[in-house]
Amino acid sequence: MLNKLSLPALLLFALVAGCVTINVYFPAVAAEKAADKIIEDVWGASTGAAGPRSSNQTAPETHDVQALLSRAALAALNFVVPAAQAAEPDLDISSPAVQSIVSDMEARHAQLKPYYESGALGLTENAEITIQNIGTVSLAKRNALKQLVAEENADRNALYREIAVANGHPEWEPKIRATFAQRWISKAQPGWYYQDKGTWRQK
Amino acid sequence: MPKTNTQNFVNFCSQVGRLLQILLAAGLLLATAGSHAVQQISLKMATVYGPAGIRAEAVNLNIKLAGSRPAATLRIGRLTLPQLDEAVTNVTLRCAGMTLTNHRITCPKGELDLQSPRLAESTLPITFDYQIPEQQLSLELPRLVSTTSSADGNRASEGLTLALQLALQQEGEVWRFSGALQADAGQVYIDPVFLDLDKMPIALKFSGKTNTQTARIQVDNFELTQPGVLTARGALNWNAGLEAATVDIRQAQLPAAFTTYAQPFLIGTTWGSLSTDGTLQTKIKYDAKGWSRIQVAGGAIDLSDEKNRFSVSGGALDVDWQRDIAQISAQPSMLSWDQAKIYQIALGPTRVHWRMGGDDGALTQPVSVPVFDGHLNIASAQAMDLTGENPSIDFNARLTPVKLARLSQALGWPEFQGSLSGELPRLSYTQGELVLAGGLKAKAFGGEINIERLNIANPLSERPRLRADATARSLDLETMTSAFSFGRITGKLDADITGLRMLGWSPVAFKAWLRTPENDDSRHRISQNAIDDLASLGGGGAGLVSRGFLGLFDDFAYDRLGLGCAMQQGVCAMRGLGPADNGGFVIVRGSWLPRIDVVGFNRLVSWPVLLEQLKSVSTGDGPVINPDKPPGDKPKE
Repeated sequence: MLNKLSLPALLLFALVAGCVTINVYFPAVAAEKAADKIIEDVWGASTGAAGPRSSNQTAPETHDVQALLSRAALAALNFVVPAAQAAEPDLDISSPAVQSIVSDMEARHAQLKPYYESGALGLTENAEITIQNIGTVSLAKRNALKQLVAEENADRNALYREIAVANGHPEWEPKIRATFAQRWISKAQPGWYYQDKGTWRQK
Repeated sequence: MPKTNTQNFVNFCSQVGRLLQILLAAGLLLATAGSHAVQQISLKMATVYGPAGIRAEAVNLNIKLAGSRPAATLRIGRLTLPQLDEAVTNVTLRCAGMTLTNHRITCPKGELDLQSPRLAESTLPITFDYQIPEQQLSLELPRLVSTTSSADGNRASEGLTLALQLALQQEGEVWRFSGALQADAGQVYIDPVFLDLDKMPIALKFSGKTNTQTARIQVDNFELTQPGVLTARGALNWNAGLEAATVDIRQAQLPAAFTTYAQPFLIGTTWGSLSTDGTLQTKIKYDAKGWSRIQVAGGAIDLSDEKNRFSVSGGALDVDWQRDIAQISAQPSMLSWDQAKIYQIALGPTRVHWRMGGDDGALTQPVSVPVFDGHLNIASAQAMDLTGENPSIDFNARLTPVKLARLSQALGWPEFQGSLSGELPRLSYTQGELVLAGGLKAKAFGGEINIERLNIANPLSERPRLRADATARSLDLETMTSAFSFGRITGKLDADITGLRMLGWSPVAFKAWLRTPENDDSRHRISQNAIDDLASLGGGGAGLVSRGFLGLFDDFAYDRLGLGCAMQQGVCAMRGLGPADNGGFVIVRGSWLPRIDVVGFNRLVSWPVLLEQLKSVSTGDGPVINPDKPPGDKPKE
């Protein structure tokens, strides 16, 4: 039955579906902006120079398509409704809860940074961190590092959940996590390790 | 791990022993048979296969028989032990000043050279004595220094210095062994346990037997001493893995035993940052199916969370859990404390008696926990799925009235008058979530406050999440305003707080609606100060009333008051009784003359700013308002 549908009809269908997406579904671009803002706060302004979607390896293709689609849909919708309502909603990250988590993470980063640089720590695909190579850490410091990693991941998980809940969409949590996973890696400094489809790579 | 190496070593020694024995016999035979004394015996073998997969290649033995003290050199080009990842190469054993008779081979001062990535020093001193008829070998390696790391880094040592003494007795295929291992320098990491042996040396004594044909090791008796940390003894069976063990930790000294052997396993949990003091005795049984019995007893135990979330002092416990015994017939367990604290809530002396077996546990008698001047009476408690993925506890409890003054003082709140009590028919703790079915009731300010649908996730974690709804009925505003040093208001107040969500004990979202009850016939008066205070909360200036002619009146009659806040993302969306003429919302609707209405204009108020204002109002300081910068501004990103 699908075969019988003409291409223009399919496109139209996609656009109409896209229109709905904007207000009901996840604001991908806003999430990326919010993630970048938080990452800059946590890691400091001197994080990797890669701008949004400028690094080809970390932005999955499907994401581009999705963003393109929602932009197209946005353009289409602009004809119908005033811009103020149709514009993709901002993802608010100013709530005190989010800010308190971010400032804890920022304070912790000073302790974690040398381990990112030495390759002991790596950024995972699920937007957490893990000890990627414990061999580079002196025996006496290993458990202290494990403690830091556990605290950092607890904060990261609280952060993704809190952003979703604070914006009135708890169900966005997995998507916010996915956005962060991609942005952490994209903004990592050269030499840091990250996970790519299960294998470790160095930026 | 040392057992495996011992096993290898036993086999290796047995092989070498046999070899020497044969050679010696041959040498002595030659020496006595021939007219000239034999000066030197040399033997070369391409490969020698030992028991349990041991293989020695390029073996070269050289014995100088000159003088009464022969010297021997044994070279093995490549020694393969099945339990080691890589072969040991270029092994050389040198013995000078030997005793070589057909009863005895003694090497009082030998040297063992071997190249192994595991060893920091490649030359090891060695002494051994082999009594041939008795088939007894005693061996000493007084200094073995290891610096090594497994490929994944989960096992590593740095300058680990060991001294080994071993005595072996062969009985057919069985070797009986006894010995001592001393580890008194260096560091070891066996994921996740880190041992700093410079600070906490370990001495181990052991005896048992092994079969040369199988890899099975039976340690009948071991005794482990780590001064200041623990002393333990026990027995175990090893067969390419731990088969069974009985361990009796006769004394575990806190905090050293906790930080060394328990804390590493608790990283990332509530118990990961705990200061401990006291001593414990523990008995553990392990079999093919895993842990089968754990007994822990101890006294004079102090625990305190480094983040000040909880503490116990004067704790004692006597706990007995058995896997294969039903809860009902299990041995009784007991836990008690002189004092405990959860956050700032002090709990008095308490004894808890229960039994647990298999996956279940239950109280054997009701527990009464003193909380300030009241008691938390736990009538029953049931624990389920103790060893499973999803352990849970259900309580049936009742809180007898606690004076709110004590509670609010402990929590650093303004002093409330009244009391808190509650029926907790089903309080459950599942997957880190404390859920209260039923409600907590507080009698305060002449009215009643009900807390319902209370749900606290990870209550003792870094950021507990709380959800609850609360209602308050017929609070007496006069007592309330005096408690908060707010300007005086008389009358009653109803309040509904729904969807309260707190993270790390700070509110994240809620909807609050405070208002005069319908059909309230109490006297409704509001003082000048109260109007100023309300006005300042609403963003107006202070002292509005006192400046004009209205300043002549102390207080005013009002009809109703109502103030609501829907807080989300740090912003309070305010509402009042209804819209005012000039676009604001009515907070207090006056009645009679002189009539005064309090009208709010800022519909969006920053929650932190509002809190600050409430604080400054209730501490009696003048409100801090900057008219140029209304507090209703949303905080900037």
